[in-house]
Amino acid sequence: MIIRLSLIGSGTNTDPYRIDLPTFSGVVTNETTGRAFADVPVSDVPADVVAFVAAYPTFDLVTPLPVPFPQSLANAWAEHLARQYDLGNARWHPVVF
Amino acid sequence: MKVSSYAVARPVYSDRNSTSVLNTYSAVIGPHAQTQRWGVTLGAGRKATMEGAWLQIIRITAAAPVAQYNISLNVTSGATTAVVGTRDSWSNTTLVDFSLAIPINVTVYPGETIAVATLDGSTGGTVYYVGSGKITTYDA
Repeated sequence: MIIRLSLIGSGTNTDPYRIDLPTFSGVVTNETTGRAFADVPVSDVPADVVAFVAAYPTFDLVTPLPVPFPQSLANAWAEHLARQYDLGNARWHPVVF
Repeated sequence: MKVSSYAVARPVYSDRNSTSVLNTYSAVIGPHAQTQRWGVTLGAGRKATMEGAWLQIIRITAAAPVAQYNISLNVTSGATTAVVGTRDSWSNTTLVDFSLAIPINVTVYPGETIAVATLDGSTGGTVYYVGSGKITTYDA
């Protein structure tokens, strides 16, 4: 599913701009606004986050969300990824942005 | 005397709960900093083999001035990154094809990420990028 997320990184070879997810494709970025569209596997996204994305659709990489992404959903998403990949700790902290 | 062996035959990787992952990034865009376009991370108990990849850059409109532009395929483990393949150019000539087919057999281990990234340090102009990979993930 397509989700608009915050960009992380500084754009260098050792710290490229990227999205904070383990698996993704089709990344389109706006370095100025710090936003990116990415195609994310549905299995990596909790149902509550899917519902939030559906409730607040985004059409460009500029217009802010009408409401900030709740911290509770961000925490739940990080925990979901930690369980899904089972790599010892919560390595990813994606934020719908 | 008891003779034993710990060598146990296992199915080939493509028969171990395998999943085929096909990723392609294709776009004509202007200058930008180093940016990941797609990536695949292997969770615990899973490995992957990249069975082939294609990297291509073609300058579509001239820059002023031109600087390095490229597309690269990388494997990252923690803070360390290895470049598996790349196409670089500093050419400002349009419609010249710099492409690289990589018939590779790279194994990716749990916790590692295989990703494609692009860069264009020029001012102005556009470049066509293609970064494509065929990956099979399977039980480690």
